[in-house]
Amino acid sequence: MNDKIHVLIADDHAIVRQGLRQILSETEDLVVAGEADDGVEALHLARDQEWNVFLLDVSMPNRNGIDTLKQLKKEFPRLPVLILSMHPEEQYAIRALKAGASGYLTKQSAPEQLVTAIRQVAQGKKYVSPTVAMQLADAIANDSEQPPHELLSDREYEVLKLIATGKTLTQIAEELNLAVATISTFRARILTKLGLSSTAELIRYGLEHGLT
Amino acid sequence: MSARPAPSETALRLLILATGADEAAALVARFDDGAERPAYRQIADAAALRAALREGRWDAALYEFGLPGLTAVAAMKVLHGLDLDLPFIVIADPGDEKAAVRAMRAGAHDVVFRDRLGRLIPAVEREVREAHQRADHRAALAMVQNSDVRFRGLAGSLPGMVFHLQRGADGTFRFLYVSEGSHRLFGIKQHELLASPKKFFDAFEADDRRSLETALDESGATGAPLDWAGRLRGRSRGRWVDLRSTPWRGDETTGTHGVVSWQGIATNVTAVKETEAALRASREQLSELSFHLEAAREQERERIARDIHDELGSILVRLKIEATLLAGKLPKEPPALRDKARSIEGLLDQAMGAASRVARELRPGILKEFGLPAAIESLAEDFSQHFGITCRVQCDDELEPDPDTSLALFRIVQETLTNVAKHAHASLVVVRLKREKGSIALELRDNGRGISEADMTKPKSFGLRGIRERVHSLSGEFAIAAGEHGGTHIRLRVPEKRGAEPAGADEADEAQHKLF
Repeated sequence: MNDKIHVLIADDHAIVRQGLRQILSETEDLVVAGEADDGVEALHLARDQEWNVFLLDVSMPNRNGIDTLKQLKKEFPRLPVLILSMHPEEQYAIRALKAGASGYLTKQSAPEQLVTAIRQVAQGKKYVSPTVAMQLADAIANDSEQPPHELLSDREYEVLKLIATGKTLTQIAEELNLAVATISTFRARILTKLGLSSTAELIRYGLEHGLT
Repeated sequence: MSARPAPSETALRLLILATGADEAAALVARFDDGAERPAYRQIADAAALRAALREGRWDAALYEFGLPGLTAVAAMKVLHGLDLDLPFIVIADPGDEKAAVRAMRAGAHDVVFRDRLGRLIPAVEREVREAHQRADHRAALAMVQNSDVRFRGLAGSLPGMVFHLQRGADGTFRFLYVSEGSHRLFGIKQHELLASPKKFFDAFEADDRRSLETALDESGATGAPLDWAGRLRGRSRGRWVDLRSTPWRGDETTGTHGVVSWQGIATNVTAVKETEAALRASREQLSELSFHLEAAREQERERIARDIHDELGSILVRLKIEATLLAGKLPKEPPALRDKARSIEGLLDQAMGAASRVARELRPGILKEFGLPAAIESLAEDFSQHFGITCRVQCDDELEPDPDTSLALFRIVQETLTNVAKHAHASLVVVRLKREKGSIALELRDNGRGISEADMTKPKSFGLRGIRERVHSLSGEFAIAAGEHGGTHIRLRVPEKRGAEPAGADEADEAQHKLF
């Protein structure tokens, strides 16, 4: 193996593979050293020889790109894999990264972007497009993984905490100086927002999320 | 011959068979001590007697012995000839025992001697009373006979067989009554069934016979009504017979302890059973058809999605690459050329975006590639963005139902979210997907205005029916209701692996059974 970066292209459409090959052929350091037209063949080739980067299409027959990715990461955890697809980054990129990909690119991406990505992941780094980077930043700021109780209003949150400590609605009403009916309404709203159906579940939720 | 006008309804009406009006009047005068003077007619011969009997109703006849134109025997013959049960009292001369005996033999009800006329009133009253009793008895008898005729008539024209089956304390069965219908229904004559109840049990298919015995045992033990249907065998093979009866159970006080009897009716319910089976089959076929159509639709979508995404998409991708590479080789001047190239790239991006979107709408590729939870999450993201309704998804990880189940659940969530957007006026939807003892439970709640009974049963609520059908085809359970805390709540459960023991199939059969 020389200094060049050996790339494998797995895509079930020859017309796309040829296009990718053309892009890489215009560089000095990247070489397409093999092609596979489905996931199974890609896995075979991975076992046969050494590669610097895998380019995997998401939707392929036999074994789709994500399945192939997971298997590759099991067998060759250090092999950088770039996932390519026509699907928008918003829905696929983060999931692909979670599944073990080093990066995700849509097929609309500019050729330079592809070349940059391959070089970057070949060095063992992750590649994220500016769009995905923004999405990740958003997720941190306004985490979609935030616990459901973050959706509650301050009053609802307060009531949830009291319910979670095992207090009855009447006790809570007294404590907050509100009518029992009002507390009952809060409880109903909390249940809906948290997707729960009983006080027992509320208490368990409270325990699990350390609200008590 | 003379008559007095009838004084009142309650006065006695007497026929006085005497020689002359004076004798008659003298006899009637005897009744003056009584409450009311009787009405009477004096008669001296057979023709007058017949005429009087034809013309009016009489309580008793008094015959003065020795009437020349009509002997006591002849007078009584006239009465019997008209089939009348009229008290006939003979007034005889004192000591004429012979005449008295002859009269009694001929059918007179009583004989009063002329020197003891004091007995006359009590004798007449007694005989009238007894005659009334005899008349009542005859009427009652006639009524019984009538009702028996009526019962037989009814039983005979009922579309089935009326029966009275008894099980003795020793457990042996016998028929106390069966109607003529036995022949029509079972092909067994009435007298054969009465002689041998075994023929009745033998008429049923072996399995059904056992179930009949069980049903009788249960009904006898609990006193619950017998409501059983079974198939006949032999020449009447394929015929369904339904038995209905409320049992009567004997007890210690009447010395009938251990005896059970069933009076009821057996009917031919073959048509009902066949309709029932046909209905079930047709429902099954409809369900299969709907399943098939759904599968065909999914296949078609899949094919179109593949054509658009793979074939058309690949060409667009390649075009984009070519265009970009070409643009990179264009000279810097004039800039219009590069602008043109960039505009082509832009258009190609749009085309690719459209192809990808159409393909995704037709077939949720993400379902195959990332699994059901991811697909539902991405659906929820799209939904929230598009309708501005918050959609929270809580999924157990590593849920991997088979592809058909995944797709069905995905479509159900899709359909439900569409419904929420269209009808619910909700601001929040919660989707939960979790594993529950070999099943997958899916729950969708919203905080909207809630679904009404009318909405659920609307004949055109195809969305909801589609969901039901999908769940049914997966052998699952489905429930929809207004949520406990407002909004609408949908719950369903399907087996995680297809072909697993269908959940709730027995209950469905049970429900089906109760329907008829």
